[in-house]
Amino acid sequence: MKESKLLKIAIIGALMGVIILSYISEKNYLVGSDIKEIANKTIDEKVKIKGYITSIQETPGLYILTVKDSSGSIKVVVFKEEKIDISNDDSIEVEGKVTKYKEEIEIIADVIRLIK
Amino acid sequence: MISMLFAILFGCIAGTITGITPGIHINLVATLILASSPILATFVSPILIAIFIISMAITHTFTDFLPSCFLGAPDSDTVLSVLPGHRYLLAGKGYEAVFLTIIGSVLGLIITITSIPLMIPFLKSIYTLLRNYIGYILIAVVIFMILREKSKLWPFIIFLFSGTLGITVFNITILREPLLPMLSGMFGISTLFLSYKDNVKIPPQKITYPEIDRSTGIKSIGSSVIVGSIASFFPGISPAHAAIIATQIVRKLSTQGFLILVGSLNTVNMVVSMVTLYTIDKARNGTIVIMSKILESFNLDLLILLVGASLIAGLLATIITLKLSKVFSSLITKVNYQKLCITIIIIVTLVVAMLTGLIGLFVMIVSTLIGIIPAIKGISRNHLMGCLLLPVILYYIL
Repeated sequence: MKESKLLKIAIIGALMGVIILSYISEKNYLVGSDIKEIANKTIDEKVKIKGYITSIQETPGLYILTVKDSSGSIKVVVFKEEKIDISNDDSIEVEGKVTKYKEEIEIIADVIRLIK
Repeated sequence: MISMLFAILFGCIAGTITGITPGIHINLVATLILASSPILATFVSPILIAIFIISMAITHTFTDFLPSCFLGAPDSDTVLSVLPGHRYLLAGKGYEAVFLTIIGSVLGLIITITSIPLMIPFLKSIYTLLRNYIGYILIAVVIFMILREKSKLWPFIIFLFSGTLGITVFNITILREPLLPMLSGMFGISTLFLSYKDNVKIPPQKITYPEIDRSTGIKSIGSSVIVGSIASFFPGISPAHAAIIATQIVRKLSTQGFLILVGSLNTVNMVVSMVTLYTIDKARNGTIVIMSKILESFNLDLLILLVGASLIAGLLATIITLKLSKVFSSLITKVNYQKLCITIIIIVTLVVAMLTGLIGLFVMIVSTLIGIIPAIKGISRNHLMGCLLLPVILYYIL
């Protein structure tokens, strides 16, 4: 195959691919889940939950929060990027990835928002 | 003491297996360890698990150049070594390419470890000083990268193209491990495809040793220790980002120097990540996240213990990697390279399919197409790093 032809195929294919992927990413915005439903998600799947904090545990480099809603509770692991100003009973929204530790489902948080 | 040495030894064996498996990144392995750590914890203490993990991670940073240099199948930390490694392979000097990365890894490891007492008081203040400017520093790096090329338009187009792909891929919520399909396609499969298409023949490999002039060695190791250490403090800045920053600071670095630099950066990053956990209480990579979950506290004694384990693991990894490199050198010419390219493309495709599904495969194909463009246009593939740089720039400045 001539290089000029391969270049055209690469550019057109890549352009179409990026457009299709943009469409997929637009269609796949996160929809909030009940905490109970997280158990049915696969490991590493991205999820969003809302709930209130019932405990805050600190380890080197991490905070481990227990977040509860009307359906159940779950542990949320938060990296110490900045000092987070949260306390027990605060309502929060969490976006993150599902993970499993000691046979227990947890969420590794990407984003945490306080709900006033 | 004996149990600690066994933990280091097992870590080295595990790191060798993960390192020579094409396309596997240490963070992926760390995730698997997180899943199995409760079982491990019933047999051994958390400290022994931490020693095992760091030994595995350090060994991985040595051995992962073998698939990158010999097979053209990198992971996200070794992507930039694919092309120089491949050039050495085509000149019959695959062993020498790996030897250069090992010089980088082992010197980077020793110099970083001896610099830790100096780092602890200074890195925190450098981090505080730089964190508001890191986005702008990265923009300056990109501008320098583009201005260095004769043609400015194509590098700019490729940077934007790959950057847009990166932003899009990171936003696909159903895609797990977004880096795996994107970087495997851009840097791995595109290289293998072009080798296959051009019917590349691998010449007999000679076991040669490089003659490194002092200034190349000092520039490569010095810049990788300084830039790698500072970069380890910032979220989202990988060793590959650090390599781009370092090569813009140290101009006119030879291919030899570049391989030393890339070899050093991955190891420096891993060691400094432990210092980061100790000094600013932040876990900056997957391996350190797992350690911080397993260990209830992280004090100076533990840092010293893990750094000591890293040093022993690094020395063992040097021996293992050089031995394996000789094996790869003799085997690579005995197999049909065309068939080998196809086999590795199939293996990487299967790994991507298993871990990221159909959407991951599609990302891999699109990334391969983008990865082919700079090779045909004859410009540096570093501009493809837009897929990591643009999302991080936007994260820091928005």
